[in-house]
Formats: sequence, C-alpha cells, structure tokens
Amino acid sequence: MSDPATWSLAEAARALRERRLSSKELLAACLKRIERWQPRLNAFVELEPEAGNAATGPLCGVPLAHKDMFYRAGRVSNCGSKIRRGWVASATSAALERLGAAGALQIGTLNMAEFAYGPTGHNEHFGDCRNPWDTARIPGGSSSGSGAAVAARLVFGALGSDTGGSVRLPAALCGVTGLKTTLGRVSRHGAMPLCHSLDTIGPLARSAEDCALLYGAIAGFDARDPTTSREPVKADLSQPARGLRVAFSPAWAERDAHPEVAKALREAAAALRSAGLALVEVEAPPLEPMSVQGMIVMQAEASAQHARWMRERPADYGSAVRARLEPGYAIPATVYLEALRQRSALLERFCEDTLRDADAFLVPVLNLLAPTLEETGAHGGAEMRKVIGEIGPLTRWVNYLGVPSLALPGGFDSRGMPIGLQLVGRPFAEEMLLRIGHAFQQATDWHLRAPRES
Amino acid sequence: MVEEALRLQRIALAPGRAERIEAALAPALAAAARTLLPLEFEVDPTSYALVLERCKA
Repeated sequence: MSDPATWSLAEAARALRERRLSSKELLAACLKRIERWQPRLNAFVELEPEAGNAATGPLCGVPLAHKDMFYRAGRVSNCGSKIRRGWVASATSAALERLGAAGALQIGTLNMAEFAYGPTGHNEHFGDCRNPWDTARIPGGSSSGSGAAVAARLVFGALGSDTGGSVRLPAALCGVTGLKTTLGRVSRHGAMPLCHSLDTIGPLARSAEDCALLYGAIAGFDARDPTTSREPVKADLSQPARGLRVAFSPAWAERDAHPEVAKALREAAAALRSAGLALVEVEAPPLEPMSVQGMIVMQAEASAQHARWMRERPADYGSAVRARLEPGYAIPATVYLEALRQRSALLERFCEDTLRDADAFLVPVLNLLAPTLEETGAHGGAEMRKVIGEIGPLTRWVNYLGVPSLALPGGFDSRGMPIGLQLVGRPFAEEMLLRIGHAFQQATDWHLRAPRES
Repeated sequence: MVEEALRLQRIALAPGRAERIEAALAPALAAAARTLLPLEFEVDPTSYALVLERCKA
C-alpha cells in the first residue's frame, strides 16, 4: 500500500468510510511525514497529535491543520504575531465549527505572515516558512504554512484567509489548489480580521475535488456574520464541465506575461479545450487599475484595524508589517471612499465585458518566478521592495471585486518551481470554477506532482 | 504632510520615515486618481452589495 498520507483527501475519506484504513493509521502516516518535513519547512506553529473528533460526516477522521488565525474556545491563536502570542480565544470560528461537524480532525496550527499582512511567508516572530519545492524560496503568504503543509502532504487540506491573494499565492507557489471564495460566502465569525471589505476564507488542498469537499463543509449563511449570503451552497462536481466557457486573453499573455508563465497559460488553455471546454478570446480587464484601487482599500482598512496597537505597542510589530501599516494612516478618507465607490462599476464591467460570453477568466496567479526568501527579506537590498511589489497585482483585483477564484497548479518553470493559474468567476460561482478546475485536473497531472524529500 | 497626519493620529515614525512614505504614497495616490471611472452622482459604496447580487452566476 502506498503512503496513505500522499492520497487525495477524497481518496482518504473514501478509504476511511469503507474501513480500509483507520483514522489512527491515517493520522500516524501524516505525523510521520510531519516529523521529517517540519524541521525544513517550519509549516506548523503547534502540533496537536492527540486530535480527536466524535462527529461523523463527509470528512470523518481526515487530518487537517489550519492557519493560526481561526479561533478555538480555550485554545491559543497567535495570528503570527508577538502581540497575540499566547492569546486564548473565547469562541470558536464558524469555519472550524463546520469542519468539526463534518468530522474533520485538526492536528495543529500553521505558520502565517504576521497578522496575515505579508505575501511571502516571512515571519519575524515564529520563523520563516519555507517552500517544500526549494527551501530557499518563498512559499507565498500570508497562508504560508497552509500552502507548504498541503504541498508536502503533511495534511489533506488547510484553511487559509485571502485578503489580497493569501490563499492563492501560497497555493500557486507551493503547487496546490486553493479557493478564494466570494465575499460573504464563508462566515468570518471567529477569524482574525484584517480588511472588512476584502477578507475571505477558503481552503487549500491537493485538488479541485478536495477543495470542493472542504468548501461544501464551510460555506453558507451564518447569523453571527452579517455579511454572509443566504445563497444556497453548491459543490457538486458530478455535472460535466464540457461546454462551459473560459475567457482568456492571448494578447495580455503575449504583451504582459513573463515568458514562462505565458507558456503555462497557453498550455492550460489548450488542455481546457481538449477537455471539451470552449475557449473565448477576450481583452483582459483593467487589472492594474483595479489592483491599485484594491491596494488603497487594503492599506486604509488594515491600518485602521491595527490603529490601537500601532499607537500602544508599535515596537511589538515586525519591521516589515509595521512598514506596511504606516502608509495607511496617510491615505485620505476621500481616496479610500472613492475606491469603494468605484468597486460596483468595475465589478459590473468585469461581469459584462470579460465574462459576457464566458463562465470564468483564466489568468496567472503570479507574473514572476518564485523569488528566494533572501531576495524578499529584510536583507534583500534595493530590489526587495520591487520584487515584493510584483507579487500581488494579479490577485488583489479579485479581492477588490469580491469575486471567487480557484488557483490551480499549471506547470513548472525552468527551475522546477510550480506555476499557478487562476480561474476567476462571477459572484457565487464557486461550484462552476471547481467543475472547470476538476476537468482541467482530469486532463493534466500537475496537481499530482509532489515535492521530493531529499 | 505625512508626518503631521500620522502625528495627529498618534502613530510614531522613525526619523526620515515620513519622507519615504510620502515618496511611495504619492505615485500610488496619483495612479488611483488617474484610473477613476466617471461615476453617476448617486453612486455610493453601499451599492456594492446589490451589484454583487445582480452579477451572480
């Protein structure tokens, strides 16, 4: 029998249901891998090998671990920070309650950027998280431990949060699948806030099928989060994706994409076509202007959220996060509100123009090859700011519009690092994106490739 | 301007930091202003929830 920790979540859940394997055996397989990988990755903040769950459900006995910002009553949530180190929550997050009710095990908490405000995976307080494909390179953030742990097959899935790309960046850089949900689709009750207009919660897992299982468990209305929608949750992948339409901009790829990323994008379009989907050529939406507006909203809201601690305990922030927070206090209120006024019109344009004849828009997650931790860290020199600035522009606009996006492994670059692509859809189109992603993963094997233990 | 704005909000800055923030923020604010769509007078941010609903799949 192959190492069960390397199976997909769907396969593992099936084996548990059919009693071909016990939950104890599955957990032991994960713990064995964690023991080997953790010293190299620093993906876990805390391991809880005694995890138990009496509930039965579709995720019964499946070991998961989550970004260290989803609260649990009586347990510590450090939020990647010195300020919240050792802080004990009084309530459990809605997303964790729902995973628990579906029978999932939580076997630990995962590393993250301080207060989820950083795209690389650096953390001055808990140590940097590393990419399992090359430990010198960034795993992406802010859900860095979630990306690294799922990629190295330490757990079958993990929750992340996505405010400007924090699920999709680590998914792309670590070669796993990640779902950024529609604003209001998953309750934020009991999850650390960063930017109320942009924050979303979503799963990272080994495939679209696995993400669908986790998404189906966590999504839906919650009276404790007034922003959640009553729209019914659908996560059924049994309907074929054949005939669904994917918009794609060859002109953007030719003009603006890194050559290796453009090649992966073209090959993904060809794979989707061969899987029976229709490819529709479109002009790319105004990615840069939307990203700029999204940045304004993010900076203003994050800085307001942290204002009290920035006044009272500024020295307890890591230098990079403090430097990210400071400019937000100088953004005029009129500029912030104008960015929010623009949002409705830009969302309508995206749906009416880019998605006029299509169900999803295919675009890369990142337009650069995975940089190193050193290049993007405190000692990265003059280029550091520029490289970090190039990480978020293709993800931030999606949060600004509030729409869902599925990040998928779409190939490897010349240095052997994963390239991530994303399918961006209309509000509440998660099921459609997952169906398209599932069809893509039945036609390709990028998602099946795992980093080697050396 | 940045130094005064942050001082009034009681956000402490290291020496020389205000100038660096100003240098980084000015082009960002200019870029945000340059790409604004001409909106109807009646549009306000609360319309977003309705548009999200209207645009759904």
